[in-house]
Amino acid sequence: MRQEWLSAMKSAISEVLETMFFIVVDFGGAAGPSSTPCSYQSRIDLVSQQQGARITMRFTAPFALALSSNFLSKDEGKVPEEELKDVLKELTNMIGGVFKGHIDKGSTVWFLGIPVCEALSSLPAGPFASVSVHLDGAYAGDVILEVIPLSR
Amino acid sequence: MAYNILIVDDSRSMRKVIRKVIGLSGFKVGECWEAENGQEALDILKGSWVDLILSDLHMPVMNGLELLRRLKEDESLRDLPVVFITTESNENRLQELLTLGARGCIRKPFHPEVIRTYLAQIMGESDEAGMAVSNEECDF
Repeated sequence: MRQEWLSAMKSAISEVLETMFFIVVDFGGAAGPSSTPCSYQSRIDLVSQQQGARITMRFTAPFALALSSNFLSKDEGKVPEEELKDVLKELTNMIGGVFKGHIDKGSTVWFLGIPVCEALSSLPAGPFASVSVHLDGAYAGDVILEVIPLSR
Repeated sequence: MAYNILIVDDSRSMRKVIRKVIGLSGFKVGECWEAENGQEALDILKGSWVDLILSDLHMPVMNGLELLRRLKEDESLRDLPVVFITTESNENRLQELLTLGARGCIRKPFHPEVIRTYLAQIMGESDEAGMAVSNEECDF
């Protein structure tokens, strides 16, 4: 299941970024320490009757700025912080939705939560799956997938 | 004839993008209102004439499904076309929206042309007759 979800996650990221942000990214290895620190973090939870999942996205400032300026068709210097965070939330929402579409098969029905943009946290110990994202060869951030208890 | 459109989405940036797509579609738009959730949309509808609602599904306060139900309960609003723009991909849930009377469901992420197609269908204008701007001029 881990590989299936990781493939679904990569596919969701590419679909959303290419369709609405006009950005094509590459994927590297698992999330880990990077020389370029991430500045923004957003997450969204998915729940089914059997289990819960959390998608956490962490992006570097230059990548977050590129995302928001492309989405809003604004110059990078003209995107207020509040709008940038709103764009990251919407990005997370769409990626979560597409990911859910990939895994929402058979008898398991998933429900998507409301996305949040939050303070940067440390990488979770032993995530279910993770992948680093790169734009034009430069590290742009990480996407981390965790399995969470339903009561969380 | 200019059409009045109400965009309902809890994401300000997504409302901006949808508004821009509408603006570039070439359709004559009169007023274009924005609401953060279903309740705000109902408040706007109390005092404004709206021809089409483009609504998100998952929103705090009042979601799109509840908004649709409220509209269908109101004799003066039940014929107002509602198109959902949503991350929802579950066929059963989308079918529920259509059964309740939604005119269509657009899945996020979307290509701008999809919204344009729905505008053409619902506003009853053909591509040839209704467009003030051609595809080539649409730079979204």
